[in-house]
Amino acid sequence: MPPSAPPIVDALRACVGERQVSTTPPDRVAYARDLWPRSQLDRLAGEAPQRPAAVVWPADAAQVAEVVALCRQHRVPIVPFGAGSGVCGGTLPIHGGVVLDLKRLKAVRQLRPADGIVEVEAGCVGERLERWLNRQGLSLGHFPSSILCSTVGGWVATRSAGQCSSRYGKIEDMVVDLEVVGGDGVVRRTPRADAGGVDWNAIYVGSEGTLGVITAATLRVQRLPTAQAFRGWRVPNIEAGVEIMRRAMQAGLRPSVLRLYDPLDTLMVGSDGDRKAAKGPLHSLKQGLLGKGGSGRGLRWALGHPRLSNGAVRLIPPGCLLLAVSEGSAAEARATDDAIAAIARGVQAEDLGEGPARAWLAHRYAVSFKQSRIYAAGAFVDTFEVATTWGEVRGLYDAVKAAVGRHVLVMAHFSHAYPGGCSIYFTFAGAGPTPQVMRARYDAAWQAGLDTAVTRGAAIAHHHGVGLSRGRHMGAAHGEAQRWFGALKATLDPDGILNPGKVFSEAPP
Amino acid sequence: MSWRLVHDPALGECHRAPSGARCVAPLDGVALAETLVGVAGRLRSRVGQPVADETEPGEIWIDLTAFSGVGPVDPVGQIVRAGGGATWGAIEARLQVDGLTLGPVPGWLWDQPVAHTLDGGRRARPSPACGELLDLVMAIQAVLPGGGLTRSAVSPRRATGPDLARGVVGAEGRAGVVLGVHVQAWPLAGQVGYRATRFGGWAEALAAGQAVLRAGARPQWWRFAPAPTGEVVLTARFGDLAGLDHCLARYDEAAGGRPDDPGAAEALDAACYGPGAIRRVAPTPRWVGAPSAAVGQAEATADAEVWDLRPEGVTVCGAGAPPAAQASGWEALAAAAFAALEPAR
Amino acid sequence: MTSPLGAHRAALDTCVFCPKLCRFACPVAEAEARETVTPWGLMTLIDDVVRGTRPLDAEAAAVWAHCTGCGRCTAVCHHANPVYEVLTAARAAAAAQGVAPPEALAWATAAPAQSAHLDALPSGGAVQLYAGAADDAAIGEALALLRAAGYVGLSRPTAPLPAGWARGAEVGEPVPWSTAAFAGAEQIICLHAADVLALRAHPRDPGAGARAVHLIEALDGRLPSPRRLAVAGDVAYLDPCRLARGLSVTEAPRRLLAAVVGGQVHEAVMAGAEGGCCGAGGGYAAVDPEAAAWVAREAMQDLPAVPVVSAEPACAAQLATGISGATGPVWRLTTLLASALAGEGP
Repeated sequence: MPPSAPPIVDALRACVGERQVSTTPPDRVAYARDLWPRSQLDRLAGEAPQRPAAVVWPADAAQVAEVVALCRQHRVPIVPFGAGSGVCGGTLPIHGGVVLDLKRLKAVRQLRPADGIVEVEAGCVGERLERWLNRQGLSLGHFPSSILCSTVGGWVATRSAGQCSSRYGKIEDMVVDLEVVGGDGVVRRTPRADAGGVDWNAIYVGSEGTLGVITAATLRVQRLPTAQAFRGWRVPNIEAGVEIMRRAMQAGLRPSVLRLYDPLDTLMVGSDGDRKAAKGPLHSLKQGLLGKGGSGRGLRWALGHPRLSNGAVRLIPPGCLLLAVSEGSAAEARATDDAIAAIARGVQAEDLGEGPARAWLAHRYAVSFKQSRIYAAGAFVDTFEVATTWGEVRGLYDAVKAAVGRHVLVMAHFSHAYPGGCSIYFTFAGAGPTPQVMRARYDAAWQAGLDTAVTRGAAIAHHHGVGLSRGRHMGAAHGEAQRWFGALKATLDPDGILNPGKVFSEAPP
Repeated sequence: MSWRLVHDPALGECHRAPSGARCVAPLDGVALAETLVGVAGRLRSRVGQPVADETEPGEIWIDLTAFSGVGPVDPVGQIVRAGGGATWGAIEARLQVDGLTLGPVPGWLWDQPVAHTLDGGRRARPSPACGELLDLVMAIQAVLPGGGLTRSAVSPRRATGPDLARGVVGAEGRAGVVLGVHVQAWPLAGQVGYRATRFGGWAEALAAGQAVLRAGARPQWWRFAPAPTGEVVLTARFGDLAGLDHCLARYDEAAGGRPDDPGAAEALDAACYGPGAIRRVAPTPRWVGAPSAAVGQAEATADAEVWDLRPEGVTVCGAGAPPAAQASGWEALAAAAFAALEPAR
Repeated sequence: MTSPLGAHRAALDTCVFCPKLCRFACPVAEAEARETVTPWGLMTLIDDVVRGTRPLDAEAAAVWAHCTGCGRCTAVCHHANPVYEVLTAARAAAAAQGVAPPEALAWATAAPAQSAHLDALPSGGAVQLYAGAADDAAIGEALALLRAAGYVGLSRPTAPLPAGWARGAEVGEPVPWSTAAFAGAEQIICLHAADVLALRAHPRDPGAGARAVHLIEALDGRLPSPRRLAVAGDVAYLDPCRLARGLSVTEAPRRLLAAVVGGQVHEAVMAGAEGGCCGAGGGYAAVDPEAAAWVAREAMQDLPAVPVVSAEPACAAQLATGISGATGPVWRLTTLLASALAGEGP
């Protein structure tokens, strides 16, 4: 693939309009990265990423199809782009080509409350959709922490999950059908998910732009819950908290949120859930990680010596914070809350009342605001989510923590609970004397975490997707199933122009 | 017409139908993989010796009798491993030993092998409380047409690209042979409750069904069907693990309608579910679509029944043969993808 | 480029390493669908210039023109990061280097429209009207309403003023307006919140201690009962961003509107303190009128097809440009108030 595509720029402009194609350096730089933390480290190291040759803003699916056909004709790579909030490098134009920004496709095409569905175009920003639905008395029930800065198309393309997935499911559970533009430049609508036969929705959901450009999605919507119940507990240890989560989900309860913090993450949140300051030697580390000041030098030192820092974490009392939010009709919310409380009493959990869960809800998207301060302090932070069955949760947690903890400070919370298991969401932070050293430690942490997840048979991603950060482990995770992907790719994108190098990917640079 | 035992250069000892279709019974995964490496053709999973001649030339019937094992059961995760040849009934029976269940298993699925259900890809057992049966399948291990073995994390959810574990679902055997699955189970409900409610017509009945779902009362199974009086009767079984009384109270409040004898629901339960089910033939789906159009479809369908009602979709079943699938272009794409899976020979 | 942008290092870092959490609130980013003009994109570009990885040139300055200064990003940011403050510093640096967009300078120095109503006023009184970019009709309505509200001795400033007191600072052009024009004023009533904010922020007290207020603040609670409804049916109200967020005036215009409208007053999905932005502010409409019209259209996207009301003349004009007759009319709030008081239709 050629790294640039000037010969087709005029044709692209004829297709979508002069203004809707840019080859200016500011635009090409802005679209050369997403929110993959490794890109931030590259930036700190002074390395410029591969830029696209052009950015194109089509207005509708027909224009998307025309652009794809043009690019196919010229063998130019296309990277579909939503809001660029991905944290795995999925939209990096590693082969140059054209970035296809879909945010002009943002209309709500139809809302059918009686059928429980909304059809919305791919470029609609999540928060705007949710607010609009709320006005109609509805909700998508999908609340990823990126909702403020991500699009519907991005959610579908990366197999996203919201914070209330225990009740409403992940995005794949919400998709009724999709409108996609294939690598052949043809607009198609997938059969309904309940139509039987090959499940094309399952193929396109999570395909990260490699099999088609998702231009619209019909999604299930919910009526806004009329009641919510909040509760928090301090549980003796991780096992007790996981046990409450497991029993609740396997009893068929459907809380919207069940969220257990490990001891360090509990310290960060504050056992009252309101992020009050911890006492003791970890205080400044907490303040630094929360972006509340403290010594940048102290933070860098602590994060640069992960064995010591992780060792100090063992001094933290083993108690953990568990949060639950139940919702629905007043009767259902109350019944669910009561039932979980009864389970919690069985493991000697200390009931902390409504406060912690209410505080969490009020700050539910705040965590993303903190990372900028950590980078500004000369350190790095990232997250890494895996999923496994209930019986494997503790073992996977210990193994990943041990493996990753050699390189970075690591903590975790357990969330996205289902009857069969849950996700473990690791947060790790590190530092180093130079950007290059930081990057090496960052890579080592990822490698160790993914190796461990693969070895233990866990899903190597629960909702962030693959992008470039997990691409090298996909073969080990799927075995020969990658041949299915190859067959689909050959069929749906015959010239390999759609987001090449992703999903089953080339190694990060 | 009948099958005859022959020696096929690629398959070894196998059965051959007059049409040219062949049937082989590998004893283990290695044998199955080795078999598939050297042959081309549509793969059809079944259990036992072939008895019918509904075959096409070139088809290869894979007898999965050797892959009918069930277990072990993970009691913590409440997950069971089953071979592709295991029947849903066998899985349910094994689970019940450990106090677990798939939920209600209809008579028409009891003897159906897992691989067969996955090949078809249709909604097999809708259940608001326990989930669609296919959705309980957490992981699928399959042998590809070229002999390769897929891997799949046993995990409740994932975000690792397209759901390749589901590549085989609905492929009618063209994407590989299901060796085994991991299936999520539920605890057996300590007690169950039944409800029967009459409504003036389909519109009222289906609206009540949606209201019940919104109230969070989820039946293990339910059926909407017309009564001779012209009314529509909703029969349902509940087994809410977190409190049956709460669940039934929510149903009673939300459903409205005219309460009828719950014994009718209990009788239907016995007739349609479990090993002793009388009704062994699945209702024929006549129409699948949005709830707003379902009333008209149900009214226009002879012997209409609705077993599958969700907030965003309804399946109306009825008498007669299933409607012919309309060509959509996806079949051609699927065929091309399956062809691309075939190893170069 | 080092100082004075170097002083904004913390603000730059906060944005550059943030996952664009304010993007949903940014009207320009939403209308243009372009990462480069999100607050993150603008700040990253400034950061690139500060770090020396790209030059400060007309190309960068042209990108920085893509902000209306509505302040939504800062309002939703957990750090309350002052994006527009940093951006205006960057614009100033570009202006100092002579690479600012010429349309921005022209906008900053534009004279207001001729107004017979204004010309008819005496100058230098205790209560002075600063109409900024308002046209003569809007000024006439404002004067009629102020008189009905009991204001006497209304006057105009003693010297010609620009169409917007704030404009020079917003686009980074050093335009030396003098508060001497407000000599004798005890109260300066402005038709645009941007001017109120700029006057209040002026290093010297405007007009030797005069208090700047917005027309809506001046009218709230002082108007007599209307003779009739101005509109029998529904309307929609859109907050001017600087009035709602800058001055925190959200309820007063709704109170005034409710008194003269018979039907429902519809609100945008983002309204009140979160609301606003028609595309007119910050010189954006001067530099890129096409995109600014998109912003105006976006502002009305969620609304039913009913007449739209704005509390500021410049916003009403920009909204009318944006919809270009596609939906209902756009009215100034003062038009409705004046017609209701006069017993006429708008």
